[in-house]
Amino acid sequence: MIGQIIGGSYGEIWIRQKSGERIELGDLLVADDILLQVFDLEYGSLMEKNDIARISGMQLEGYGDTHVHENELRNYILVKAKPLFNLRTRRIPKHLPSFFNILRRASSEDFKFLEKPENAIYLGKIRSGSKILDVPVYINGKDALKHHILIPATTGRGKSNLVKVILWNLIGKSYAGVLVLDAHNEYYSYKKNGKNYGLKYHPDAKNNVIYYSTNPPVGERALRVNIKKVKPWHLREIIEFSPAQEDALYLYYKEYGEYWIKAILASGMNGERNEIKGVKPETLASLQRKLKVALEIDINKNGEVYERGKIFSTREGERTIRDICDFLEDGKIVILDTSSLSQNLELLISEMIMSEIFSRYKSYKEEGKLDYKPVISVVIEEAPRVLGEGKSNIFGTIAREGRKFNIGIIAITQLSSMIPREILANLNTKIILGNEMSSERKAIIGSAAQDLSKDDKMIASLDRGEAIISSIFTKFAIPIQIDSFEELVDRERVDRKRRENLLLFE
Amino acid sequence: MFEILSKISIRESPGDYGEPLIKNAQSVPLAMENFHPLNPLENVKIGFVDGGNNILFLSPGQAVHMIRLYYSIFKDSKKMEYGRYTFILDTRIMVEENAFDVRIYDVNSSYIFPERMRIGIEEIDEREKIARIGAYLRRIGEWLLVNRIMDRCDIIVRDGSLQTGEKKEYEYANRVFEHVNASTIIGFSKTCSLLTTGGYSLVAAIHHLSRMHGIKAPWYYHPVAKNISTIRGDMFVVKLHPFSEYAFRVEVYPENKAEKALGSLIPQSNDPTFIGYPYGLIDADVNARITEEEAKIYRNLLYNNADEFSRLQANAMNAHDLISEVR
Repeated sequence: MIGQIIGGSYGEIWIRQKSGERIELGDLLVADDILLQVFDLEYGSLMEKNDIARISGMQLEGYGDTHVHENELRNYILVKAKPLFNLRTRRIPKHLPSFFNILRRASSEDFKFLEKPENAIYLGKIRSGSKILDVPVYINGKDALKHHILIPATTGRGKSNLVKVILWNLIGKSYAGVLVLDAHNEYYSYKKNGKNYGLKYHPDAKNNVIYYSTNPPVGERALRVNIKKVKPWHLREIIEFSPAQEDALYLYYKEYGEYWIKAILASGMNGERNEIKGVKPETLASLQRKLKVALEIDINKNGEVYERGKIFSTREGERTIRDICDFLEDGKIVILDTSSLSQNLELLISEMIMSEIFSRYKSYKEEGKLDYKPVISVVIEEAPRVLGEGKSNIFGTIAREGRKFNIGIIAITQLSSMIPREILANLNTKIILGNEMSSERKAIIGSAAQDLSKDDKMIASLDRGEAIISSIFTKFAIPIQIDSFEELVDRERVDRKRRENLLLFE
Repeated sequence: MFEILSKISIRESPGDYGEPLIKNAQSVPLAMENFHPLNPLENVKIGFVDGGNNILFLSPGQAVHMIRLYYSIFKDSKKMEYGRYTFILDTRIMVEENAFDVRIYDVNSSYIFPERMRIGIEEIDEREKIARIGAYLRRIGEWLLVNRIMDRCDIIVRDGSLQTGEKKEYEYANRVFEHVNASTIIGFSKTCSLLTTGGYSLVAAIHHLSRMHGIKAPWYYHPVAKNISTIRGDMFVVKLHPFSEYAFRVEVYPENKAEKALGSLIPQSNDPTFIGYPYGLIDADVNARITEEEAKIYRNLLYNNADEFSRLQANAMNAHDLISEVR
């Protein structure tokens, strides 16, 4: 017995907390068969407001020996809770629990109805306030990935830990390939407290986690892309072109095919006669400058294009994009270390890969082969960069139409409000971490799959690793505690050792 | 209006208070030596009893009342036990017999009252006698409840005086006084209309006197008068907390246990809600109360089930209430 219902309405049930108990924001309680979640706490008193102020004055200002008799009876904590789920009918409750109902805390027994779905991804354990119940929470990975996932949170609330946990659980699962643009080079391998962590240390990583870097360690793949693979439409998002310049790009591409960049750069050099009729020299000069800067390339006096940066190459990398797409189609996790690339280059590479994937999957759909292909998802950090208002790129297309082609996005952001509502509403699973910014919470709440209108304070108070899953694939918004990635890896190491020891004995 | 009000002096500090004016008693002049210090006494089981009543249906020949009786027993600020009992009284006048027939419905099966009582019209001193049945039986019920819990307490505090008004009430009070063994009965009056011969409030005069002479509470004042024939025990005036703005009239039976009994109220009287007033009585008052809101619910239930004639009977007495509600 931790409290009793003393009033309220459907969305706001008032509970008097029993003295000596401590009910927290987010706590899960049970009244009749209805699962309730605490969303607000207030002080309650049977005493008048002025009396309370006077009592405090007397105690603070030393008015002799005073004592609030039966304090626990006259003063209390008023808990406000909302109904989450009917544990008996397993539906959204449509009635109020009985008046004066005595409540209890939810226990792991209450969540037996949560089944492990097909293609399950483990996300964490059910959390009641800050207490963790031994109930694992899964979602159907294939469904959730193709319907897109949004991970909104402010810094330090565990976004990358969550993504690592999700990816760790996807390794070796052939139903999904995931492209990770790793701007901080933190997913594949890193050191913490003298120990190695990262997706590389998953027992099935060898064949299932592919790592590309512009500075690859021995045995890993170099992230080099041949400029021949760059198409005019890939550049639209990272370079601002005038209509005349854009026309020129397409004219060159039409004329020179995959050599279009070289043709533009060489135009007008050493008597080269590869100008195209209708493209003015000043348009061409401007295009040459923009391409050189954006792609970190240049051309020498002999008309040979050479690379100044780390990623685009004139000789290597002809298969890189194709290989990456193949790996993704094989259901692997592909991590691109983009830590030493500019934001624009990172976008360009991802645009190239995802455009290729989109095109392939479109064809598979037309050919009726799509059902045999894994779902492909791309992890995008700072999602408003590519999903923000006025952006027209492959990611916007995926967010709107990707579901039809089994392609999804895992969008990570601190600024959900910068993503248009239409796209936010399409991100059908939201794993909401802590967020202090009220405008951001409003955007998340307004586009959630369940009614989270009362969850504002709860979201603000979510600590590191604490989250709420609101998804069209969950029966209610589930509060969870996400595992620490490092602990997950450590546990795996212990398990592996145990397995090896068992083998020795056999 | 302001001029008139400002002319009326309510700021008078008398030089001479006069003497206590108490009927059928020999008054004792107010004197400093009658103030006695009080020491707090712990580890005492104190019972508190109070009652509340409200009227649900009233006509000249029939009335329905609701009564609630409450007791609690405290020991060192902790409530050890309590009881809350509600009754519905259906009273009908028996014109030829000059009496009321009261059927008592015991909501909580407490068996404090009998199922039926016959109350003579002359037993009730006030006008509109049928309307007063509720308060009359509530007072009787309080005595019956005191009697019931007496053996479980060292001290019993009853809200109000130990003086009994109506004739039959005296019989019930007497039963209590006759059975007092080890316990002490206190009648604690939160209001007091006793006067001095100077026409001042007796309690205010004693309180003022203590202030004029810097007497620090807690204290009790005794004797107020000698040979008071209208009450059992003796009368005292007490102030139970130094920062209280209130002194109270109390009666204690047997009077020789007064100092200990009043001292045991000191630890109860430091609740800042009403400092200087025993918390147990606040608790009893709150729990015995039948508020207008609560009564209204039952009134509506009753009226909804009443036939046309009963409603017409009620109309014979409710026009005043109806007009009062006109805004």
